Amino acid sequence: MRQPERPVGIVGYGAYVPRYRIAAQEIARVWAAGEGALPITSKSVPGPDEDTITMAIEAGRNALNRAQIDPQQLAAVWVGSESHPYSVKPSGTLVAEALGTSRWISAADWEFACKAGTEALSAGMGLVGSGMADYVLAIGADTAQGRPGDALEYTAAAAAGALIVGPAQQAIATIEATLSYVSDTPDFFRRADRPYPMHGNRFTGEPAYFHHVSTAAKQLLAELGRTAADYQYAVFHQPNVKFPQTVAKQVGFAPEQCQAGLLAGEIGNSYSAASMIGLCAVLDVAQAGDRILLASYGSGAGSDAYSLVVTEALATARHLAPPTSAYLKRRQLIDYATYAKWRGKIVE
Amino acid sequence: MQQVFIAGTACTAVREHYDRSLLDLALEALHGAVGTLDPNLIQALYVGNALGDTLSEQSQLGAYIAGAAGLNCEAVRVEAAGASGALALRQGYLAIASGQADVVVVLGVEKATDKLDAALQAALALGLDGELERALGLTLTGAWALLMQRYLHEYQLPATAFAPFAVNAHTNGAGNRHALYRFAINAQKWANAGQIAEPLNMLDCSTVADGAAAVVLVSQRYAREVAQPIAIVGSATSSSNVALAQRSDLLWLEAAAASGNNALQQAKLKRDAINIIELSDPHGIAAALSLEALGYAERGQATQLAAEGVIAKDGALPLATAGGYKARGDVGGATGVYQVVELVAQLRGQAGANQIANAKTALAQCLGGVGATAVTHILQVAEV
Amino acid sequence: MNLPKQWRLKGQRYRLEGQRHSDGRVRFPAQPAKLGEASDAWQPYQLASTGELYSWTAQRSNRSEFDHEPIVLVGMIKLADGCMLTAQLTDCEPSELQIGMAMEAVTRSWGKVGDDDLLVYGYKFRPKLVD
Repeated sequence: MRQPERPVGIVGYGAYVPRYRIAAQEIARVWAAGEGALPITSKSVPGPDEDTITMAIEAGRNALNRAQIDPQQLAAVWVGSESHPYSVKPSGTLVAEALGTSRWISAADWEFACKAGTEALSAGMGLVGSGMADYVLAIGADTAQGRPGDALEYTAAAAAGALIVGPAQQAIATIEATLSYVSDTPDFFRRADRPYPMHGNRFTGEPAYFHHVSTAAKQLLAELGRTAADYQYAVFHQPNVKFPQTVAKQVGFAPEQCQAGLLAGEIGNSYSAASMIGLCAVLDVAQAGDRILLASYGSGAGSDAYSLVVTEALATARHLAPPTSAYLKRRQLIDYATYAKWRGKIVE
Repeated sequence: MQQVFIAGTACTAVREHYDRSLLDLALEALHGAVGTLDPNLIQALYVGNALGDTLSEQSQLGAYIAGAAGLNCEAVRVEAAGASGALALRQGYLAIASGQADVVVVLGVEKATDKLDAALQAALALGLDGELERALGLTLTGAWALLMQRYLHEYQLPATAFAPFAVNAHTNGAGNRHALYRFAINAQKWANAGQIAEPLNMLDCSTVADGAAAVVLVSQRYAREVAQPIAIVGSATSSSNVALAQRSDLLWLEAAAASGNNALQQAKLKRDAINIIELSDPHGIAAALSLEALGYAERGQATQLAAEGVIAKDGALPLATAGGYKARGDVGGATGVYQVVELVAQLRGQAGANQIANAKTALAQCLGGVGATAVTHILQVAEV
Repeated sequence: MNLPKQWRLKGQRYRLEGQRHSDGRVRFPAQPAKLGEASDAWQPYQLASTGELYSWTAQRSNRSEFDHEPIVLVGMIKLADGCMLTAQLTDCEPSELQIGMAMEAVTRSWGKVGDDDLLVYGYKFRPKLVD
């Protein structure tokens, strides 16, 4: 595991979920004659004027409001996504300008499938932990796409999660340690010129998601000399509802520890945002002293694991921006035709 | 300062003239207005046109049309969105009033149908604030709708209060062979029309089409040779902020009020001396706010003038006797000259089926965009 | 595709950068002083991001860039600091709109410009999410 010289933590957090939802039943109506088991109830759909950048901006604003720092103090704005609006031109610079940061920052984009946001988080720990900077904004945001009729279509959703890394003494939750575990595993990928990703069906399970997440999580616990029982909450990457529940069990967590951070049932798999907004939802309710285990997953493949401890500062800071539940509560159901039109699936 | 008189006038029918070019329409109006006058006497041509650059991809319309007309005079294109033609008239007025010229021609011409509707919408929106309104998708119709929505809220009125303006316009349009729409409508039909930009419905929105109108202006020296000269006794232009959000009072057309007051003052007339009026009335709300700006109604009360028939042909202040923007047609930048052609006909007793009784003094007010530019002219039967 | 102009407008579009006069008046966007005003009469000022809906309309006939959406919602918002702003309204249906309701600014896509689809972003307003 890795621990920076200078203790670090999360000084601000923020989530964003679009208001539109499509029911999994509705997708099944079009593609499966309304039959079959459904991996989630509904998923979020970005509106016609939303994308990774716009969502990242709102999540970032929420995080800044909770952190109560001047955006000029940010040393980096790093956006992780697999749906950056441009292939060449970083989302980071636009998000940084919208948030009113200084120009003297780092603002590159990150990619590692669904763990692009936590990659930025880990790097942020390094920048702050080394003393090179005081604050780094790490954002995971995606407007994920699934091929029409593909299994992924039921779950590929949209959201943004933003975490500001800063000195531990200012944190609302300190980060005790982190580790990353990766291997070259082709469970899910997309070539640059293709609009939709390839999904490896069952291959995305055991050798991919479960192996990397459980290995990373177990290893972190072992190195810290702890067990799942020492934690109040666990947040895992959530491509659907079953996977995080299963891996939680594998690592030793009980369902009650995972409930607060499991949002996939309502909003689907928001890819780079998924584990980060799960953490945001936990931070909305956690108490001082609570321990949180966070383990993300990115296809390709790898997992980033973190051990966090909530501080006294969270209780007041959490009220400085809308809670994750406020975004979950606002939902406008749309039908498949509207969804297809908005997501650009109707070929002209 | 010389006095200014209107001699010949002419206008084309307002239509989708797909088979005729901008030049075809311009020349028809010019021939009609100039008549037998020796063209060599014409010292200047003022062309009022709003959309030529974008929809006809032609600038320098002054030189372009003068050349086609065989004129070797000063030629100027004037632009102020929908007020272009009226502003061109003001320039023509000033040329003669200043003593610099004795005979000038003012032409309003608009060719709106060479490109498809989306392009027309885009071109019309150029009269809004480009960065604060147009860039975010507001249309000209949407801008008037914002005013109407607020008006309904502030004065607690239903949208149907505005129906009488359109009904009146169509009644008159039915009697004008040059009008785009020559059928009457009723309040019921108006109330059932679909929404275009809430709360503006389809029968509360004018249609932009093609046309050209021209008037010849002369000094006293030549007015003696004109059968029924009409004097321009008041001419004033005023402007206000283009962007709605930058106006201090959204429901007050400041430029219309100022230009109206200045023109009346110049003419040494009170507003009740006016027998007949032409306004920019693409929507009922535009007519209502214009009437209030001119002081014909208290704020929030103008719809009553329409409801009570004050604006009807036989009312105290006939409005839109040729059909207004709604029925005669919205001829873009040319409309300001169409307004004057109609008023001159009325003052000369030549308005046909829509002739009102005792027309002696007339007022034409033309707005650019949502009233950012306002041009007012006051015409009077003259003794020369 | 007027790249320089899009770039020049960032401040007002992303951050509602306007100006405040020494007498308290707020205006948008930032512009040079008027004739007769001192050059420093207006100072840079970031507009309030919340306000009341002053008026609105639902446009059904729109420019070709908005082809895919049947309705474009535009409103005027009276901000908490007194400044008036015209903006597209988002995350709401016409039936939800009431003059006087609380609105807040968000940054959203305004579309694309040019043959190479440069993305344009700017302010829009939505009904306030949390009271």
